[in-house]
Parts: sequence; structure tokens; C-alpha cells
Amino acid sequence: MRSFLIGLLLVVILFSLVLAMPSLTEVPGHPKAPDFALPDLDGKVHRLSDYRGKVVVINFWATWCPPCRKEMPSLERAWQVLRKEGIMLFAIDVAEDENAVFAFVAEHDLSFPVLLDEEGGVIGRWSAKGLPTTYVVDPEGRIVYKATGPREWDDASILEQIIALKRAP
Amino acid sequence: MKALSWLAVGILAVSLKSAQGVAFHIDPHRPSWVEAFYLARGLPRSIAHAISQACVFHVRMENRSQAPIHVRVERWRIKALGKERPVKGRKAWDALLKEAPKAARASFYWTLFPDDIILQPGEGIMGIAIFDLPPGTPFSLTVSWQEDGEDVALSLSDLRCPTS
Repeated sequence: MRSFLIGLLLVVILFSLVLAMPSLTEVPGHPKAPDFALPDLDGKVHRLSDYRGKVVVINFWATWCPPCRKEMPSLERAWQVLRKEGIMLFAIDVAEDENAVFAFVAEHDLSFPVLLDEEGGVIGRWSAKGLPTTYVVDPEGRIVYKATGPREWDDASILEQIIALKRAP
Repeated sequence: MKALSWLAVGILAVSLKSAQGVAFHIDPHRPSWVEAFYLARGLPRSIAHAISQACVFHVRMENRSQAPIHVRVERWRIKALGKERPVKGRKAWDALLKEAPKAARASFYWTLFPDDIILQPGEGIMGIAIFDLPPGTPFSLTVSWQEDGEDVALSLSDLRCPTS
């Protein structure tokens, strides 16, 4: 009886966690994503418009931001799934020194491209109000989803929302 | 308007949740921490020091309700030294940061709690709030947001600006 009750409690907890998991919010009108050209940590410049035809996930973050740090491991796990689907992911660090970003990326073994928006000029052209903020851009270069605050990026429902954009008309 | 109130004890952190499930958390930052934090963000020492003396708190809001909420810092009110005024938003700090490097200004801007933000159910955001009061000043704070089409206000009294 006791183990049954413990099991029931675990099911209830898991169920409530699933219910509490915020998904991605659809952006009304799917506005055109502002283009950018930013360097990664190796100095290679990535231009968003060069990825037209692909779904692109863009995460604005900073190393000092606790929720940004918290979501990085799940973003890395999501990247391992998304890259196999041909989906691109950029984490754009906002207004920080390259050395601080490099140290964080090395410490957390992040393998997705991390870009540097050192003077905050790029994030200023998006509608972000705080960090972290993440956008999902469809193959036509339109912003379809937005997430304010952290997410568990490898959550199945979130991955499904992103991957489904490959098939969207 | 729904109103909630809470008596905060000294400068201890306070966490509250509205009836609909919006969680509000406020936590003081000591001046020494603030100065070191902004020096590390590239602000000149004089500016980092000035900010550190301006009553700095960490603020976090989480929308655990079933509807979006709209938060506008300009509608928050602070009462101290016998006067009541709005909480200063990001633009209010432009003059102080005029001489700071552009990257450091941008970094400062993004550390602040957003002036105007909509949080969907399940979403949360955090940032720094600067109340522009001398260290040790007692004050009360009323934060507000729109929740399910209704204004909700939350009053925190007996707060005190952190000291070293």
C-alpha cells in the first residue's frame, strides 16, 4: 500500500511538472527576422540570411544571467537532436567580453555556435526585453516562436514544435 | 484592483505569490557585490560605485497563472523619506552611464529588470532593480501587473536598502 501511494505521488509530481513546462509562444503575424552578421568564438562570421531555407533557433543570453546558465545544458542536448534534423542553433551572447564567454563555453562543453553581440546592437533590433530570450525562425526567415525566460529545450513537446517548422507550408 | 500586502523584515529576501499564481521575489544585493559585478561588466569604477550606493535588489517574477501577465515597471511605486514616486526605468540611468564604454552600457542595460514585458503562463524573468535611495534607507514598494485583464498590486513595506 505504501509503495502504491509513493508511486501515485511520483506520478502526480511528474504530471504536474509536465503541465508546468512552458512551451513556445507563437509570435503574431510571424514578422521577418532582423538579419545579423556576428562572429563566433573562432572569428567566423555567421549571417542569419545565409541560413534561409533552414529552421534557426536563436538564443540571446549572457554568462552572468542565472536562468541563461540554467538552460544551457538542455540547449546542448536539444542541439544534439536538432543538428541531425538540419536545424541551426545560435546562442548569441549579449554585451560581454569574449574571454568570459570562451571560459563559460569551455567549462560547459557547449558545441553549438556561440556568437558575440559585444555592443548589444543585434539584440536591440529584436523584440527581446530580458535574458534569456529565444526565437525560432522558419525556413522563410520569419519569427514563428518566442520564449521569454528559460526552457527545458530537450523537452519532447518543444523539440516537436521546432522540428515541425521544417514541414510547415 | 486586487491588492496584496506583505511586511518585509529588514533587508531579507521576500517571496510572494498572488492568488492567480504570479510569484514575485526580491532579494537585496550588497553594495560591494554590486560594485564588483558592474566592474566585471566593464563599467568605470566611479559609475559602478555610484550604482552600488543606489539601493540595488534582484527581482524575479514567474507567471504560474493560466493567463499572460503584463508587467510595467513605470507603474511600480516606491515610498521613502516621506515621498512617493515611480520606480526608475532603464532610460533613467542614461545620464549616469554617458561616459561608459558602449559595450558596458549595453551590458548594464540588459542586467536590469525589463521595463515592460509580457510573461506567458509558465514564463519567468529576472533582473536588477535600482531604487535610487541611499544605503540603509527604509522604504516600501508597490509592484503591479495586469493579470487576466485585471490590475493586481502587491505592497511590500519595511524594506531597507542594503548596506555594506
